[in-house]
Amino acid sequence: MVARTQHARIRGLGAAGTGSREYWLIKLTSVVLLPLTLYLIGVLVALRHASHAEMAAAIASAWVALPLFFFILANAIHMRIGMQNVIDDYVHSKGLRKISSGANTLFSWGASGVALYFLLKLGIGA
Amino acid sequence: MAEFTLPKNSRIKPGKVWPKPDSARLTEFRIYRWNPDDGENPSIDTYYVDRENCGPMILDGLIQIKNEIDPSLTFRRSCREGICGSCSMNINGANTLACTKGMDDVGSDVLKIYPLPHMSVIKDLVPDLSAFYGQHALIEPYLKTETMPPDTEWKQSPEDRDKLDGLYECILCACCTTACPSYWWNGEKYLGPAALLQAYRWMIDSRDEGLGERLDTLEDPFRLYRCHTIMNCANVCPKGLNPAAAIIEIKKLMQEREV
Ligand code: SF4
Ligand code: SF4
Ligand code: FES
Repeated sequence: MVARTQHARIRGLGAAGTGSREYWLIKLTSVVLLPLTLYLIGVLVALRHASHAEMAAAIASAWVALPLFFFILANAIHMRIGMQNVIDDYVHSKGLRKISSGANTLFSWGASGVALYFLLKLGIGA
Repeated sequence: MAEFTLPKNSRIKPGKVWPKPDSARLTEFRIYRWNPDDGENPSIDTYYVDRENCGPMILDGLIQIKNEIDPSLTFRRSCREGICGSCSMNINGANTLACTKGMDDVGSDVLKIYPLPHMSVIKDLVPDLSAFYGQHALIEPYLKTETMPPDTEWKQSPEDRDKLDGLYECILCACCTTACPSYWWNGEKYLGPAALLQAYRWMIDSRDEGLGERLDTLEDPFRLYRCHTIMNCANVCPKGLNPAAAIIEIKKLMQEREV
């Protein structure tokens, strides 16, 4: 698309109509992640001498599995939006933007999906 | 990608050292020079200002250089009292107005003067501000009303008028916008602190009826949400305004209607 005047260039394609929801979500997930992260670090410290079996049993218990479940979910959202912000700031070529934004979404949800799968496996003991 | 180095033809070369005037008190000015017509790279010229016959402000020094040493030196100025916003430039690393900054107030004997950063240069210290003005126009900096206009003026209570303090004083000098890293990386899509401060100035004007449309114009990942509250804008504003705080207020209004 060729923008002919400065005026047209500044107006560009108009306002996208998005931004506020993601801004809210990244703030919300920061607030949620803070206590969850501290709690899970505490769990890790408490289990530092545990054997594999003890570790698996601890993770399978609701006290660890549920916080971990919400941690993975909130983290996926937070990570995706945070990384998207970095991409929006620094990556300007159209093609690279599409590729990196797509890769970011796939990685955030993909990695979290894998983590959730193993969490369920441990929890349900399949 | 964001560019972190200057293109080859923008790299700065050493320039001319102009003769010292006969004076017991001299201040050294190192000034960015670039002429679009000679095909040369930019350079830094060194001038010596005779302080015995010069006013105290940096703009006074620039005017002495132009009048008495080198008439080709190009810069903008008009009011020489911090009200027109023309003489904004980068002085010893910080954007400010040359007319309100004293030569003795920069904490250095040598004054290093460049055009406002990260803008195309028209000549010497004159940057191209047409995009900056276009972004100001985009936020519609005027009263928008649907109600039939009253027979006299639109009235405003003193309390409502007070809400415009800290906003209406902006002189559109662009010191803030050109100090903003987010604007450096996304200057064509992010509106920058000056335009956003003005947008907020009209949003909270009790007489204005266009709040919803004004928010619509800014509901965009780039136009508004490139601001990461880095605060460079508030640090440099020569009028002591705080665009970052205004931007936070806009984001709050957005949250109010979204969540
Ligand atoms: S607070 Fe926002 S507008 Fe101000 S310099 Fe930082 S990113 Fe730019
Ligand atoms: S907010 Fe301050 S720095 Fe920015 S344009 Fe207005 S007066 Fe200049
Ligand atoms: S000359 Fe008007 S603001 Fe400096």
